[in-house]
Amino acid sequence: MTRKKVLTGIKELIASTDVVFCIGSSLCKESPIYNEGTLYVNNDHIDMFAVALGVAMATDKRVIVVAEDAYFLRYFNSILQASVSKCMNLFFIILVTDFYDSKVKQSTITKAFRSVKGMLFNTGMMTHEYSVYFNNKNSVSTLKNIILNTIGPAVGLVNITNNRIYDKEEAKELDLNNIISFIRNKELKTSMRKAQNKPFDLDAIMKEG
Amino acid sequence: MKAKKFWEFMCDTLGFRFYTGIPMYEFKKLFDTMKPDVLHYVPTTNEEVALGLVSGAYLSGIKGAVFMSSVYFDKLNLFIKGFNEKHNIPVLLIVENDYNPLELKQFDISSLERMEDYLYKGEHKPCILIIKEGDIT
Repeated sequence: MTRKKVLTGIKELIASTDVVFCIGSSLCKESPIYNEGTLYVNNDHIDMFAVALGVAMATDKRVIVVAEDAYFLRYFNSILQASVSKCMNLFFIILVTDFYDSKVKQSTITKAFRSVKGMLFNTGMMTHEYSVYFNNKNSVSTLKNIILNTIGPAVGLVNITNNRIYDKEEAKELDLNNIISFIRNKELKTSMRKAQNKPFDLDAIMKEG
Repeated sequence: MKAKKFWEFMCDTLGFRFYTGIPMYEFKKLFDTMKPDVLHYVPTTNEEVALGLVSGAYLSGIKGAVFMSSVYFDKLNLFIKGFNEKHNIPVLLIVENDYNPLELKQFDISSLERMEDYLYKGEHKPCILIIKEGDIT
């Protein structure tokens, strides 16, 4: 599956209300603008999986994280954290390119694992193979329905065979004020929000035991 | 300060209802008096994940704090400088001593009132709250 086909296919999967994390220097250059709530994080050295999990915990919007396998390996402990989070609105799309960086063509260890899917499945994450769905437009819309009916936290793996980078553009940067107003622009219904509104009465809680 | 008073102030007056981090012996009294009805505590795999969770929750409009040991500041340097300080994402780090290699603004138990103004009305930068042994009874 070509990289360009996958990145443009992902655009079809994303609804206007979704929060999208696009992580990594090459993805920030080549990914199309998915929607108003897309965060482009042009830094490979910050654990944005954890930030995405934090956002997902406190909003009822769907949070979709797009990253490469090198990033996934680096911050696998955040995937573990996400797997126990019960965030039904959190989805990871991992592009398995088998390369660390577009410029340094060194292979990652992802394909050396006996089964990445099995590894993720054992953490309790819903794990899918999305590669076949990016063949044509019809199969992308099938995938869209599958994701709509999937309960997170879930990981979708997409194998990239032609990893040619289309980084002709300037890297997009995170525009935080827009993103914050986008994420917060909805009445939250999560349990965390319920606790936020509850008046503090520790004595009564102590009595309840 | 009594642990109950501390939680009352943090949760009710300052509105911090989301906590993460690694449990530590120094904060035993605080952990023992946490109540899930009024606050959320999420134990994490490491301090970086904890910082990420609180930063993400801030983007969604929830105030949060991280319980951690100050020895991990060196590990969090990239995250704090490259994300929190760069994009003005405030986060409260609750630590057990005044080791502060990143030179973040620091508060102690006697200056809790000024902390919220610094975090959410003024600088919008990460800061640390030092709770030493004996501060919480």
